[in-house]
Amino acid sequence: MDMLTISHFSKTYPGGKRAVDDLSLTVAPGEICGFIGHNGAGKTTTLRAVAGVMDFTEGTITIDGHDVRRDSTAAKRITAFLPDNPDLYDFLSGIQYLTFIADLYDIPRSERQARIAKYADAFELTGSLGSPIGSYSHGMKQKLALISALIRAPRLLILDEPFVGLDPVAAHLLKGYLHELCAAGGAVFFSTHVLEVAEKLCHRLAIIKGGRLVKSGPTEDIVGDSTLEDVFLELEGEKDA
Amino acid sequence: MRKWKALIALSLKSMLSTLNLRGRGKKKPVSGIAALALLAFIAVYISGVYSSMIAAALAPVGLAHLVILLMSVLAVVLCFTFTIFAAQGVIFGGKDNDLMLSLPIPPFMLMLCRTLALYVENLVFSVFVMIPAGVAYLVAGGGTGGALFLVRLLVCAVLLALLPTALSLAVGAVVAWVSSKFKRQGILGTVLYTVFFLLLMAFMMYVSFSMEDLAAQAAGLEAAFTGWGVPFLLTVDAACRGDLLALLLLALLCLAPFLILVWLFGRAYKKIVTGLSSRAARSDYRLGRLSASGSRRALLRKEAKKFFGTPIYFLNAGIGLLMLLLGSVAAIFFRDNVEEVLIEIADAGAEVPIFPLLTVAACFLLSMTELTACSISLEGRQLWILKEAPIPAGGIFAVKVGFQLLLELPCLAVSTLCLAIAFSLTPVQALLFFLAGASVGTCTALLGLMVNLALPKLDAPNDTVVVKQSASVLVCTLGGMALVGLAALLYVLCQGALGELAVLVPIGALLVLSALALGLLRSVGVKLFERL
Repeated sequence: MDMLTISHFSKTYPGGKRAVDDLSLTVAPGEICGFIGHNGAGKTTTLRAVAGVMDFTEGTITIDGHDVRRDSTAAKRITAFLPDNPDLYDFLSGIQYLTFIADLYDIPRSERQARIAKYADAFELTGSLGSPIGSYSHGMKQKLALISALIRAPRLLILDEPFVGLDPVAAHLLKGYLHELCAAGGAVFFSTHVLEVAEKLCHRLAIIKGGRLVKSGPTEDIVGDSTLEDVFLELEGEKDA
Repeated sequence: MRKWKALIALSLKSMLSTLNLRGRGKKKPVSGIAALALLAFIAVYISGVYSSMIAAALAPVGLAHLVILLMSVLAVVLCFTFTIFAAQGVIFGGKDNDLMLSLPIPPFMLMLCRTLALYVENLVFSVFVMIPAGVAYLVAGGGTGGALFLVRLLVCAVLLALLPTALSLAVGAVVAWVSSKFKRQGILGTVLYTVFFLLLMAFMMYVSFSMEDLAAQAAGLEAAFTGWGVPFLLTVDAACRGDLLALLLLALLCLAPFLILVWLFGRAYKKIVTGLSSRAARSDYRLGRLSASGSRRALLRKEAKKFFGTPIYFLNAGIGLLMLLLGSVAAIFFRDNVEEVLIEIADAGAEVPIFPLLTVAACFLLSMTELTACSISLEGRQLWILKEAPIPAGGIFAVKVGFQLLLELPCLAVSTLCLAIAFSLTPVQALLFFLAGASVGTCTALLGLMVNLALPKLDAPNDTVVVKQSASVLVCTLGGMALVGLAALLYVLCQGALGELAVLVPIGALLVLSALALGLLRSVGVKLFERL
């Protein structure tokens, strides 16, 4: 069974703007799927719908067999979502926020302790966990949000532009953790504008343009002998323009 | 000049858009103005009723001008009460500080424009409290001059609105600065604002006691205002007696502190704002043994941290509860005075319906406790955290309503006990009092959440505009008062047949309404939440 199945998903915003039109794609367990497209192509809309953060009426989305709309609690329990600019509770300290998330996901005390220690140490955030989130820099908030996603040990990790704002060391660590999650049978579905990262990191790519999926498949099939940048520019009609 | 216009327009638009009653749409400013008009109407109504009563009582002894004196105090105190908690958020705590400070405009100009937005809010209250007072003064035959008197009064109102603005600015800056020096600045801010609020209440009690003593010799009332109340005495001289010198002095007394404070804070505005937002994270935390609890308890804890750590939220949404507790405990300490008054009234042959009056007062205060009316809006840009969590919308609603009841019911129980002792209520009366309060609390908590889901404000620049100016809070404030008024009317209608047990009728009605609100939340409310 696929970890993520999006079938004929469409989203029209109030006012009539059709952000996504009849999008279908799958992500298998163990796969990292990169979602690529220009600004306003419909990437964030799709990711938010998959995460169960945004309501939609057309199409179906299932995560490990759980329908995101009909069985949303079960779907969310095995998912972690990281938006492009994660706004966190400024009035909580870092450790209070992680404990809050661990409580929401019923992570046992001993496991949460070990997981928080593992990821906070790796991202060099342990020393700052006692401070209010309001005092964190953008990058620190990004790291905290990532840690809060990783401690859930999700089956599906949904990330919207995860590398923006991360320092090179943290970005390298994140790539390692994504592989680790996939090796344990999980899957990753993330959007990015950094084509080099997508090309190197992803097993699978999906390219969206104007709300429609224009190409998807294994990375090597899409890129072929060319580069992802060339393929993307060609699809966007920018090549040799 | 174009910059000034643009900045003031932005501040006003931001203020009006938070009052939007129609959600997102093209008619946003219109509905904002409509809501502002509604606030003005309330001010006119309250001032009109009190002014005409006071003017009618004082006119026969030739002291009708005292209505101007008293209502000018009321205008300033009301304005100060409304904006004392807003200054910190509106002037210093804007989320757009970085953007605005990066623009090619002097920080002084930015601060002045934000202060003017606060002033406009005070001006609306001040004008719409003073004009009915003036009309009542003229109707009672207090003076001549008609339109000219009203123009003079209007000028005084415009000047008087500067006083609460300057005071709020000063208090806001002090609280912001002091609390920024401490780790738990949210809770410290709450404590400091509570202290200011208690001081304000103590001052109001002092004024009302002074007036009580002077009631028999109303002519001496003006003497009580010498010193601290000079601006109000000057208002009377300028408006009622047409004294130009008094008007000039009033202008000086109101403008000088305002301009000095604006100049002082304006000069260091960038430094103040930078200082307040620069909170460096410490790096000496050591991971110890972590606690663990269920999701419901975690959500409740988060609600509590937000409530107690956000002064504006605590003091606006919890004000009714605070006053209920303070009043009830005070009733125990002033038990002898209470008994004295009751004996005096009984000796005069009058009968005061203590139990229904206490119940209505407590219900009124509980209806002002509106945590749920802004709790969804306060999630703001962090709402994704709750929406992403594996908790059904119903579970989130239960926590939000439950938190309000967790605060209200114990306070109500303490209040019941205190008032039962102070006023010698029978056990049945005490039980009915508690049930009435609990039914009002439950009903307003459920309806408040429903209204907030229908009228959310998730993109507010700060918590202050959500708590003080959002449409949902406005609707719930007025709705809560109307609800208690209707419940009291229902009691009066049934009292003849059922006596004090008639309280059970509005209690039953409120419980039915609560059940309907619960059903609505489970169906429509869940859909509205999913659409956010």
